[in-house]
Amino acid sequence: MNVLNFNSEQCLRVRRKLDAYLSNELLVETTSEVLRHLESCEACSQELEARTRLRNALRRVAASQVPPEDLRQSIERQVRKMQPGFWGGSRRLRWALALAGVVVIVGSIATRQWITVQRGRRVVASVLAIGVSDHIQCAIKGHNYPDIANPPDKLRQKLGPRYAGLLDVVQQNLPGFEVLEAHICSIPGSPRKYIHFITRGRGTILSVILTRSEGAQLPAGKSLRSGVSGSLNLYEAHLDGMNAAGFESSGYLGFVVSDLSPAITMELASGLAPPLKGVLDAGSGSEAQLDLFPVLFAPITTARW
Amino acid sequence: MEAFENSANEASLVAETPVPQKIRDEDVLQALAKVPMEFREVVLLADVQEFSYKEIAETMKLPLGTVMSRLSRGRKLLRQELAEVAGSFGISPARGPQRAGDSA
Repeated sequence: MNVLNFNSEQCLRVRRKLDAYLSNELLVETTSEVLRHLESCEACSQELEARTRLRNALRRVAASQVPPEDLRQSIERQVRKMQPGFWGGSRRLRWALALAGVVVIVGSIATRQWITVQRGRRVVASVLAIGVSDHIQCAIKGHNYPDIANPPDKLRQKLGPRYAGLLDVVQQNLPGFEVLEAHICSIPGSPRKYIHFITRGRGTILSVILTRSEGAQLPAGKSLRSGVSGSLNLYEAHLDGMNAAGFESSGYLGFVVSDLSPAITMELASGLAPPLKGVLDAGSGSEAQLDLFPVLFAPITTARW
Repeated sequence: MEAFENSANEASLVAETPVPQKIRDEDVLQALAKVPMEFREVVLLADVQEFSYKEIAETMKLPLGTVMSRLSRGRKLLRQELAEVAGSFGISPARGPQRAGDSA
């Protein structure tokens, strides 16, 4: 290993002054001291080089964020109008433009952050749209549920052994809602399959939908999540007149979709998501393929219950 | 008054956050975004616009000591954030100095 001679006492003293040295803020004597040390210390010379590199990068970035010409002209006009004061006009102008430059760089950062958040929101919306589309197609437009709830045994049979156990989890963790229907469905033209629970409560229809993630992923980032339940992040989006709350478990995406308010949808999802995730995670070691139950799979275009 | 960089924790200066060898504009912007405004502002004015510490203090109506401590803190934060941002993209930092005798 390449070991550099690092005299901590002297190096420490010089390093405290390196930035001031680069800014030409040191007294002549101190500058000489720094220079003498740099001549004999490879480590501090490298540190100086690194700080110079960073400063050059900052200047390069600043140069690429030029204030718009109209802003510059506006500043020049304002400065010309000012009464002569402590500073001469050209110095004042330099300051004004420099501050404008800082504002532009800061503005650019804010813009980039805004763009990043907007991109994240689009990703959230596109992932939650997977659940919303099934709710609209199957439950709302298709009306694939009976007015009187199907018996639980029938629903478990429709779900198949892999997912039958989820019925009780949904029923027990959605207070005030009754599960009318549960099945595995799909949207014509898409290979994606949905484990779909259609429930009724609070004067409306609410869907609980699970589907294999198959590459779809909710973005990380505190600014994008709308809630946390336990250690589970919850995301929300308003799409096609529906409010959706989404979460991820191992290999699955989960959605609660309804036309209830975002706050109520999120509150319901907060209570339901952790137990659902618990069951899905526990079963992830013994994955059964949905295709093993072709009899139970009913495309929603033909399914009527 | 001579411009020394103040540091409450001198030991941290010995273990300087290494500056990455390759610095991309994107990384600089991302790192800057994470530095709080009060520090970012003075770093940009001193290190980019090249105003003297005294000029910054007068114009921003801040004591000179405050300008210097903000600069010191701001520069350090910027190096830390840059190392983090660059690290997340797999850009390894430049090898930092080691104390003699640290090597096994």
